[in-house]
Amino acid sequence: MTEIDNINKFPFKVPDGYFEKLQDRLSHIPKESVSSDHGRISATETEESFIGKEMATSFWQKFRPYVALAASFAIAVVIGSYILDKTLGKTKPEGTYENMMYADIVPVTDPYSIYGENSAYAKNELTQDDLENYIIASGTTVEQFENTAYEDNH
Amino acid sequence: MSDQEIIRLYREGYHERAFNEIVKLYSERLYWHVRSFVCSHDDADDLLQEIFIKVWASLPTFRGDAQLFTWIYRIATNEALNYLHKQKIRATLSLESLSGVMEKKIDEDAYFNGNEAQRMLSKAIRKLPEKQRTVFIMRYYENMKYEEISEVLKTSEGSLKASYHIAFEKIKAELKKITD
Repeated sequence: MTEIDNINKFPFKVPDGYFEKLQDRLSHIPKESVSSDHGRISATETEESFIGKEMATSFWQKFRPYVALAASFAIAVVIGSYILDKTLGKTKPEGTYENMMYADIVPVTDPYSIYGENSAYAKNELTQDDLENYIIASGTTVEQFENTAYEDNH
Repeated sequence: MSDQEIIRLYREGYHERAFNEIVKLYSERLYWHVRSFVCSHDDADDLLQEIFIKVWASLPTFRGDAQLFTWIYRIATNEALNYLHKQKIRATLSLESLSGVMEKKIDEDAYFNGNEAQRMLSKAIRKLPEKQRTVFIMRYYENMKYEEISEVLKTSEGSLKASYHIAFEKIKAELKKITD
């Protein structure tokens, strides 16, 4: 067993008479009977029941900070979601009235329907005129076109 | 009174008397042990009471397979490390670092009695990883033998020597950085 002979290395001091009073204070520990919340035994508990309770309490004491941290995050997420939901508001109209009100702004049907049902823009497909204009613009001769049509049909 | 006599006293049923002998024999030494970890007199005082409460509560489970001194020291070291873990969590929730919190405690401790070099050394020690800090404190401040530290921490002497050497080099570098 080594003695503390390097106490002068410690850059700390204590209040006057601290260690004498400390021994008096600590000597009261066996006499005190406190709740088992902090792993302390009560006077009525047996040694066997104490050991099990001490292990369980130690386990809880060990993980209590992490549980508290997880609970704090969960609460923060719930509160944050609630605040975001309230401040951003609803973007989708609800109910008949809102649908009618927003009808001109956000069409619920095909946006190209304003051009009419038979419109190319509505159907988004090529017309005969489009095809003919393309063939002419590409420089395809009538013979080439006829030959291609012949091959396709045979 | 020796450890063997204390144990004999306890087993003969003189529980309180045995506990008081432990307090008389080890309270001051344990105080300095935990003070090196927690950097504040008030925190060391609180922690010391928790340690002796745990010692009293755990005495029935002491099997005698380790020396009483080693067993008590192990409890004290574990409690000090648990305390630092809690401080670390509190610091993280406050968006601070543990070493920053401990440096503040060193600066604000009314019972810090060292010179500026010792203050810088104390702060440099706080920056070490847990294991290196523990070994360095026990070796440097308390002048414990590696054999004793090995029994307390349940780590091989070779590993302890390596940890101490690395800690020493890191502290040297840290102090050089501050003084340059």
